[in-house]
Amino acid sequence: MLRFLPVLNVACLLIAVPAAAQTAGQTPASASAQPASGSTSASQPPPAPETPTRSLFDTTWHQFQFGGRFTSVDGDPARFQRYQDIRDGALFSDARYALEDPGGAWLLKTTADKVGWRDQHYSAEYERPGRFVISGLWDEIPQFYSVDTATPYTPAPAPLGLDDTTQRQIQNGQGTLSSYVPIASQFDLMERRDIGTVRVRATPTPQLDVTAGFRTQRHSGELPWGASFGFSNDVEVALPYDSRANDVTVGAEWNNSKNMFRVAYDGSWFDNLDPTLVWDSPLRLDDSTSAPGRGRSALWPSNSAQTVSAAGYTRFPRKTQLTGFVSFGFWNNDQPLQPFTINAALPQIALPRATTEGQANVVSSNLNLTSRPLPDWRFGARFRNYTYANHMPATSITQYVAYDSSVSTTPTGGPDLYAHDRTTFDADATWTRINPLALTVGYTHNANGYDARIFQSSGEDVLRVSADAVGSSWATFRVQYEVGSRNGSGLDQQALIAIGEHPEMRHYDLADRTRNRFSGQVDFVPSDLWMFSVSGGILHDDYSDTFFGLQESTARTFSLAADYHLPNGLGAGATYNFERYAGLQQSHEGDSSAAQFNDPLRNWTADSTETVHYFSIYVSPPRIGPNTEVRFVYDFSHAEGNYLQTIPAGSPITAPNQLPNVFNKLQQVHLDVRHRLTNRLAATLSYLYEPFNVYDFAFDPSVVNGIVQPSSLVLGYVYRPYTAHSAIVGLRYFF
Amino acid sequence: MRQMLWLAAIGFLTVAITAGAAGPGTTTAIAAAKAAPPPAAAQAAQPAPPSGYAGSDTCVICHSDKGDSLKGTPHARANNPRTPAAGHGCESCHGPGQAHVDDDAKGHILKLAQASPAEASQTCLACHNRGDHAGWEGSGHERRNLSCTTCHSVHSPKSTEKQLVKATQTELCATCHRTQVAKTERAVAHMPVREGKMSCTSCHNPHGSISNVKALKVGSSVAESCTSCHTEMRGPMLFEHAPVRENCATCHDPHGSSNDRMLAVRMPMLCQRCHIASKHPATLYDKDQITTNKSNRMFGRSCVNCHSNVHGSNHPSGQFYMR
Repeated sequence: MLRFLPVLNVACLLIAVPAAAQTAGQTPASASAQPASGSTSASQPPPAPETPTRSLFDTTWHQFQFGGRFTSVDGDPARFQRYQDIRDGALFSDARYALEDPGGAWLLKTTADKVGWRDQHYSAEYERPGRFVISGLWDEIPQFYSVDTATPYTPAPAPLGLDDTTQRQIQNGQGTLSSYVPIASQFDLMERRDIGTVRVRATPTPQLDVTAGFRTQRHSGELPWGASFGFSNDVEVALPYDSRANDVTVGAEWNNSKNMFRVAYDGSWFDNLDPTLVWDSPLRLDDSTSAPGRGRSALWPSNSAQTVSAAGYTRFPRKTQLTGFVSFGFWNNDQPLQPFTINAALPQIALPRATTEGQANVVSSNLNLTSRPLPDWRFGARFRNYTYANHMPATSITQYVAYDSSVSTTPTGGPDLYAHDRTTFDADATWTRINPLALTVGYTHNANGYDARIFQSSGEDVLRVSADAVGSSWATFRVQYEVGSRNGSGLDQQALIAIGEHPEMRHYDLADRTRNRFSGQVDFVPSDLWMFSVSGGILHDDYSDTFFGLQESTARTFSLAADYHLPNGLGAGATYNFERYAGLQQSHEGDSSAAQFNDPLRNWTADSTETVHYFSIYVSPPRIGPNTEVRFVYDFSHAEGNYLQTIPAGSPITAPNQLPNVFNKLQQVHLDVRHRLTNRLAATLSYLYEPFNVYDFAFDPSVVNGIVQPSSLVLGYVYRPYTAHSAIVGLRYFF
Repeated sequence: MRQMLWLAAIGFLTVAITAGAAGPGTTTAIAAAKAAPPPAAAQAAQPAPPSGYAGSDTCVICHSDKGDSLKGTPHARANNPRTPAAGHGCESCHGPGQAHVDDDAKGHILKLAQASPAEASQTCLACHNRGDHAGWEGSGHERRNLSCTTCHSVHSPKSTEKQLVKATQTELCATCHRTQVAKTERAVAHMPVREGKMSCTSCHNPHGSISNVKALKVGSSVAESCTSCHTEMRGPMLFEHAPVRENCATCHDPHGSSNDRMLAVRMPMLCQRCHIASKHPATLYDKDQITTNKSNRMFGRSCVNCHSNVHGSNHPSGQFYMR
């Protein structure tokens, strides 16, 4: 009933308003349709808002659709719905309404989609051209994880509790985790994000824009969350989550034909209304010096970021422009620090201070110069710097409590104060003498500095060449090749050793790397009927100086596309996309003893590959008779992952039993039929057939076959296939 | 309740503005006035176009379809002093047209379809030189010799908003960025693009970004762009996880992935690319750890079963992101 009320509300409004609009005058045409024939006076009947030449699939600014949705899902309904709400029921959607003053003094646009459903969306914009624009939207995004989930924990709000009797029984050895199965309740694991925005842009003078915006996000629901008490007591709970993020933007921009100057302030506040998670241990009720009865974890801290920025450009002779930007950001997290542990049986370690005192200053600056001093030449240069400076005070934490279970010594004596800065210089030159070809050569140098990383700095040089041929009516051509080399300096192997890492480990986001990348695309338009396109790309990253870690990463892509259009309205096309990704990494299995730590026979490699095939075909036949239009789309996506683990000959490591391939295959068949009943009314049928098949060993029901696993109490979240049929039958009204 | 208030507000706004528009008969009067042809004296009073300009009325004698296609579009809103309609009309973009009228060969006019990309773009940038368009010069698309007319059409757009040459933004971007668009179709983990909740321009400004890389429209880094929505990860945290602080794309594929949480590579392999401390991070987890031992380091959320605060922890015992 609750869902019907807004549906009826909006339906009544949008039916009543056109009646008033008929005396209000001119309304804007849709972009692809014949324009409205102008304003009307009260003494003449309004023109038919729809002419037979307009396609029923064209969206107009005077329409809405009312109908019913019917959905059948065999399998996992949560994965089918994921970010949408496709349950059965009345559906009011695709509502578009615009109204414009005949003299052009103002313009109003409104939209409403999926009214009353979990994924509903509304927007409105009012404009006085040349004076101001005010716009707003409200959008709801559900995320549906699973219907297979069950938990013996009491639902939110935290603390998440278990039955005390069961806890004590297990603690006393009179039960096992299986004791929770009969008392676990099924629930739908879901979360949602609601977003509301209001923006205003005022133009007090033709050269000056003043802007202001406000956005609020509410993110709430339950998330799957690891809440572990150690290897032998792994717990997954439905984390209750409720947060708000509010952003304010104000700015002003002045420009004339040669110059622009802009200033802005951005304020952002994130408020986590559930910053702490407390949950019962499934294995015991009472705290002890080796295990707790409860756990307590800090969740994402409330934080804020304030940024002021200025930007501008100025134009010089010879088609030269210099653009600049600078911003200063102040990030803050001063949330109270939790005690080291909730376990009352353990010694309470004194906190280093009462609050986080997390602070960071972020400074960013860009300069961009472009110039076309000669008819056949274009030059560009860019300088960019980004500095993240960590101003959190040095924090001494020499001991910590692992899993609320035992006191341990921290390997680093406290948090590392990560910070980094990046400086980029880039330049390129383009020659266009051989029209329509544009040949470009470019060079980029990246210089990065790090605090508390294994390298103090790194430098990367990239050379690129590209050729782009546009402007021809029958072919376009784009290719680019780049080669780059990154080298780190100031390697601190002691930092690796201090935390127990192998000194030959390299982190791939910093490690020495050689990159080769090629991409190209050619489009042929041999006639007005046909269009062909072929594209491809190769990426190869070689981390040749890395012994442990990612050693090589490759990507290959290839696509073909064809489109065919006849003047009688027939349209058809097909696209095939191929992707292959591979990554080779080396690791080492052994303890810290000298015998094992340096034994090369304990090294092992993992070669991960993924192959993806994507195919799409669409057909838009000519109009069937004067009043019926059909569209058909078929999409197919198949991705398969393979993991090959190898050990050297003679290794003391047990030979691996290779992991099974994982795959997911999605097909979608969309059939849309629209039939014009009158100039204002069309019957619509939209049908979706969607079979999905999946196998992932980590989430397969054969593995996660219940909420109780060896040493684990989980939610039972799995990947399951489904076959879904969903149809929307309705009437589309044009006014 | 909140939804009802929003709906009521939208409905009220619509009705109120409609009532205001139709109330005292102002627009009706304007409409009636416009319906009738202007008197001859009023027509004669139209100022003559400046020297070299033919006037839009002359242009549409031959190019009536082009003139009609502008009606109702932003370019035709004469109330906005920055639009062509408030200036020289057709000749605001195509240049003075008298010579073109007088020329039997019909040259002497800027034909944007035949202009160089830079020339075509400069035409548009004469007006579209602020806001989201201010970063065009030096942008990735400009450097690859695209022009405004590569993506937009003034006279024959296919979309209902932004005058695109394709019906939807996704279809347009997929013309060149097929791989990225294909990733948004990944079944397991993707941004809600195909559900219509996001689009390419939710994150990117195709006209270029003055402040950020990758044409990201918000912030000054990849991480700032991501945390503009995923604000809970912004921190700063007591215990930071370095790759999180520097670049979300180190671990995630922002367009879509076949791995849970849009990870570029599944766990534990992803984590094992940087962590091989003694024993368990670097243990070779094979099929037996799934079928026989059911290791909680392999099934479900793998490493994050325990290291749940992997994006950083604000807990004093959060050294290893387990609290």
